[in-house]
Amino acid sequence: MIRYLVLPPLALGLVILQTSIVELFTAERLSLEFTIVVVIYAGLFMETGRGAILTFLMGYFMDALVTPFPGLYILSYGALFFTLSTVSARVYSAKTFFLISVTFLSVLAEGIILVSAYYIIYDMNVLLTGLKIYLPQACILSGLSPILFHFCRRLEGYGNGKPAQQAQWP
Amino acid sequence: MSVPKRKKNLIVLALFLLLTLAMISYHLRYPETPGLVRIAVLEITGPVQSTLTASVHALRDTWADYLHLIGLRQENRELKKKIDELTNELTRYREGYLEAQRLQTLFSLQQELKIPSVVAKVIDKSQATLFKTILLDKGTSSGVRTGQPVLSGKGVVGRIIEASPNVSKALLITDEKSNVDALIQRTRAEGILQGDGTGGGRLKYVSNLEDVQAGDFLLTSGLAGLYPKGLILGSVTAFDKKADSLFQKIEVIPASDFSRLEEVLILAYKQKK
Repeated sequence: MIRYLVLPPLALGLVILQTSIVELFTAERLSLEFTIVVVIYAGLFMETGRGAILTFLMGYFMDALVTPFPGLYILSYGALFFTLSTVSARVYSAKTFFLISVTFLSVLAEGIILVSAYYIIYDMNVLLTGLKIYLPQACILSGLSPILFHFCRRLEGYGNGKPAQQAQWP
Repeated sequence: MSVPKRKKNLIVLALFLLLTLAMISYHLRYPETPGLVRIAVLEITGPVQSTLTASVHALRDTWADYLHLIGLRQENRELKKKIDELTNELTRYREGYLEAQRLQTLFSLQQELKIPSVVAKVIDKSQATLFKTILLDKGTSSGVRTGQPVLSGKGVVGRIIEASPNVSKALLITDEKSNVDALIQRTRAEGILQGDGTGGGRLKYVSNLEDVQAGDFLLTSGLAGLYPKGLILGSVTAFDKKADSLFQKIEVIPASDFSRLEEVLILAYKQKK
């Protein structure tokens, strides 16, 4: 129960941090969406209920703080989460190359979803801008994904009250 | 009652979609009112975000200051280098100015003496050895000959004892082998100035009857023909009249400061045989 109480502030903290701290390192030239890595992790390795809550929270906070239209992030994160959740049941998803590829594709997919949503809602073509934002982000996040997933695994281990090494992997 | 996994997933998906659609619908219906939870999120985030942003900016400013400091350090290094260069340049100019002043003195002397002369630079000094000599950068190709007198702006330095085409060697009047015919300017009493080998000289063969005082100037007498008459040799620093001796013991300090010699004038003075 405590886990569910702690989760929202943690999720909000992550969203705040990623919108603030990354700025320091990239001088506002690049945004790194660590929340999507959490969503991918949730989709691949977490139990569906818990993962869905985490995904919803991440999407909700991103929507609240970033987008002008609520629901965009929840939708894109939700779509990714359920796709990955379905995929993870059929493949061995702990391989590094797989994780890197999935992260790369997921970030691009998120970009496509958001660009499409922009097109549908505002009738604006932001494909080029989207590419400029999401392509470097996909490269960087996929490169960092093994470390980030390891970090998520450890956090989940602590959350479960178990040593990190015993955290459940599929 | 346990729910099958597949069914559970579908339920979660349905709930997720329902919630999302409800949110979107709410926003479309009431675009001006963000909703309680959203307001709460924004309210919570506001102070946290502003504190964090302030911290981040402070950190970024510190970082920028640090980078600026690095730039300053580099600039400081370059400025120091520039200062060194300018100091060197200034020293060279000052040196040139001082050299010009010294040469001016020598040229004035040259004009006064009306004797052809050559200005030479001192390229080596041997004063700590037994022999008190200096090497000059002018030799026979410049008209320098053995025996020619060497002068500084202040007085007699010595005479040329050796000359090669481009270098010559002069024996200083402080060398013990040096003997110069001299006279005391005030009394015209004559004697021989001999070097004492330690930077000074002794005026020999001056009678006990002669009036000698400390500070009296000593000039070349021109009698032996080595030096023209009237060049300053030095001044009397001490004298001693002994009853049992015919001559006084007179200590002389040369007018020229040999330790600071840089340029000299070599007189093309023809010795009288």
